[in-house]
Formats: sequence, structure tokens, C-alpha cells
Amino acid sequence: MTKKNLSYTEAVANIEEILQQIETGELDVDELAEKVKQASELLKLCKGKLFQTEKEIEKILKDMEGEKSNE
Amino acid sequence: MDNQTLSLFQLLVQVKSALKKAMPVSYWILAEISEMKVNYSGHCYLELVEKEETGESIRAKARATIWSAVYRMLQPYFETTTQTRLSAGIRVMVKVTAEFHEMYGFSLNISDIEPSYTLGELAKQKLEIINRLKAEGVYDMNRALRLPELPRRIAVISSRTAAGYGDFMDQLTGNPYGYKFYLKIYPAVMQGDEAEQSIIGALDRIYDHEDFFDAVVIIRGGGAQSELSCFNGYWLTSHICQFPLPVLTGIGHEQDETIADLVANTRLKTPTAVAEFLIDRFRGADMRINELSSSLVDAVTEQVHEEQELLNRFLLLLRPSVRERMVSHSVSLRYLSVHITGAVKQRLIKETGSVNRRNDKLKIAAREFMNQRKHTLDILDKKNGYLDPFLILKRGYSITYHKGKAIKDPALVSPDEIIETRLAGGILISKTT
Repeated sequence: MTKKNLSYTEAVANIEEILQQIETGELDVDELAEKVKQASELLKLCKGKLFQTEKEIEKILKDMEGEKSNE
Repeated sequence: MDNQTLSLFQLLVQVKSALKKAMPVSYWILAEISEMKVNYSGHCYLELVEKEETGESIRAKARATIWSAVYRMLQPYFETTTQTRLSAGIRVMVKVTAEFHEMYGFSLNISDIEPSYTLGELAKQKLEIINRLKAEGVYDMNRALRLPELPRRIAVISSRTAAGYGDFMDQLTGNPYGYKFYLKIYPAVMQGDEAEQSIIGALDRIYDHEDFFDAVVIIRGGGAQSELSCFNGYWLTSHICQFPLPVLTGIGHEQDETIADLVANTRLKTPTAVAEFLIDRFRGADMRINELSSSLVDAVTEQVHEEQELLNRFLLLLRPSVRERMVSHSVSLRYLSVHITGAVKQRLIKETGSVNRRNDKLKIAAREFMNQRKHTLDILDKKNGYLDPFLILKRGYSITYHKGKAIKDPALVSPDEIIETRLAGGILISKTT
């Protein structure tokens, strides 16, 4: 299943792999549904990385700011 | 020989005049500026040195001055031509007269400068540094790093007060597509003698968070074109080469590339160009995702379509055999129906025959029956004639009625009752006693 901490590049690579599997007709109809679901989740993840603010990253930046003032 | 005793002043005046006599003209000399200062009145005081060919040790040193009237012309001329600040550390070709002053000692008075020499020297120096970086095997290191497709977390080395910095930050944070960048400023002095060390310091601080950042941006918005020497320094460029994160430069100059530009992962002209580059990279990723998304839809649609086609083909294969079956069945049905019709017709004909025959028989039988009945009726008729009451009355018999009923016993009629007696000739009404 889709990991949360997947990098953009990894996610895109996964989508491409799924796309290729579909295009070459490797999947039967049952697998297809599962893979399509997986791909659409990955696409959502990628879009998120483009547009969404990740609290985790903001926090690290904030911590760095604090560390800075101690210098 | 008479030993003439002189005062210090007298001696130095003699030195001064001897020097003037011996070296009355000016000379073009080559030297390196080791120190330089401009005072409040606009005069420029320098220290010129010459180093040993083989090393750093100094073998000649002299003070020099550029009087303010000359300096006001020479400085802009030199700096616009060389794009280099007239400052300590550079090699110059200057026209000097040797002077001696009883108060200030020996000094060189600079009256002219040849910028092309410095340009050549700088180019040579630059080439030497490039060759040194190459020889050390670090020259291509930063360029070989792969810039992430989505450089989201960016360490920015700049001066907070620079106009280029503000524009850069605004451009990224307010990009029209709404892409999210995480920017962290690492302030540094971007020009002057401290710049090189200051930028190296910023790189060191970023290095502590190497895992967090995707890239480093070095931008220098505006400022004098002649302030770029730090970007040609060996130590800074060597740091950039070996930095573990891709370095993007937007140093903001039009002419020659600095060594920092040459060794950086991605070289852009201005801070604005760096921001555009980053946004474009996101845009590219954005479009790639959209493309993948629609390719996915297409591929799935196609596969579903193919499955449908397959089903259709099965159907097509099935249909003729079904139709054949249907046709053969319907033919046999039609045969059956024809057969049945024929059989029914034959049967009908046959049955009609027998019905007709029976009919004839019936008719005969019926006629016979009727005849018989008629005969019987005739006889009965005849017999009936004998029994007609009128005929009987005529023969003198009569019928007596009481209240419309024939009286068959006189005891049933009480006295003083009216009775009617029917005779052949009429009705006789009487009263019982």
C-alpha cells in the first residue's frame, strides 16, 4: 500500500510502473481496479507535495529558527 | 675629505632632489595592491607589493598615493572596464613617479592605470583556480548532483536587505499556481572583503541540515558589478564544488561568469531567474502528474474497452450458431405447421364425409320418425274426436259447475247455492234446495 513518506520521485516512479503494467495489459480486470486505486492515491500524494503545507516541515523550520537564535 | 655635517632636513632635501634628478619621468610598473584606503578628502592611499615568483614572500613594498582629483577619474574607469573593484588583492599596472618627501618619505604617485592588465591577470587567476579545482577532482562534483524534481525545501544564502532577496522570496511564496515552497534564509555578507568567508559560514550552517534541504540558492540582488571577486575565490568555489546539496546561483551580473557560476549545479543570471526556474520545475512536475493521470485514465479505458471487445467477439461467435439453431427450429416449426394444417384438413375432409353421411342417415331417420309420429297423431286425432265434450253434451249429457268447478258429487254443494248447468244448447242457472 501507499507509504506516507514516499518522495515525489518515488511516487511518480510507482505511478509510471502501474501505468506501464496497465498499458502492456499485464493486469487482469480484478487487479486493474486495485492498481488504479493505488495509482490515484499516489497521484493525490504528488499533488499534495506541490500544493499542500506539511506541518512536519514547518515545525522543523521553526525548530531551526530557535536553534539559530542560540548561536 | 671634509666631513660636512648636515641636518636631517638638509639630507632629506638632497635625497629628494637627487631622486628627482635621477628619475624625472614617470614609469609604468606592475604590482599588487596589498592595502588600500580612501580618506575623507578623497585621496587614496595604497601599499603596493611584489611577491616572489615562486611563493608568497614579498620582495618589494612601497607606499603609493592617488590624489583625489585623479582617483575620481581612475576609479570608475578601472571598475567599469574590469568589472572589478579597485581594491586590495588585485594586480595592477600603474603609471607612477617616484617621489620623496622630507616629512613622509618615499612614495609612488599614481597618475594612470591600465585596466586590461588587471583583466588579463584576473582571467589568468581565474583559470588557475579552475585548473586547481579540476586537478583536485572537485570541479564537477556539485554539477553531478541530481537536483530533485521538486526542490521544495530551499536554503537561501543572501543578504536580508538586498532588493533581489525580497523579490525572490515574494516571487516564490506568491507564485500564481499556489505551489508550496519552504524557504529558509541564511544571511551572509554578499560583497566586499568579508563576503567569501561569510558565504562559506552560511554554507557550513546549512551543512548541519543537509538531510532537510533539497537545494541551496545563492543570490545577490543588485549591487555593484565590481563586487564579484568573492565568487571567484578559491575557498568559496571549492566549498560550492564539494557541497552535498545542489547549489543554484543567481548572482546578478551580466558579463563573465564567475567560478561560482561555473561549478554550481545550476547557474542562473538573477534571483528572479532562480525563482522562475524553481516555479517552472514545479510546473513541469505538475504537468507530468496531470499527464500521468490522463494516461492512466486512457489506459484503463482502453483496457476496459478491450475486455468489452473481447466479449463482443464472443457474442459474434455465438450469434450465428444461435441463429442457425433458430432458423432450423423455425423451419421445422413451419414444416410442422404445414403438416398439421394438412393433417387437420385431411381429417376435416374425412370427418366432414362421415358427418355428411351421418347427416343423411339422420335425415332419413328423422323423416321416418316424423312419419311415424304423424301417423300416431292421426290415429290419436281420430280418437280425440270421440272424446270431444261438446259432442258428448249434444248427446244429452250435461256438466254442472259450482263456483267455476265441475260438480262430481251433489253432497259437496250446500243448499241455497247458485249452480250452473252446461247444456249443449246453453247454460242453465239454478238454486239448490
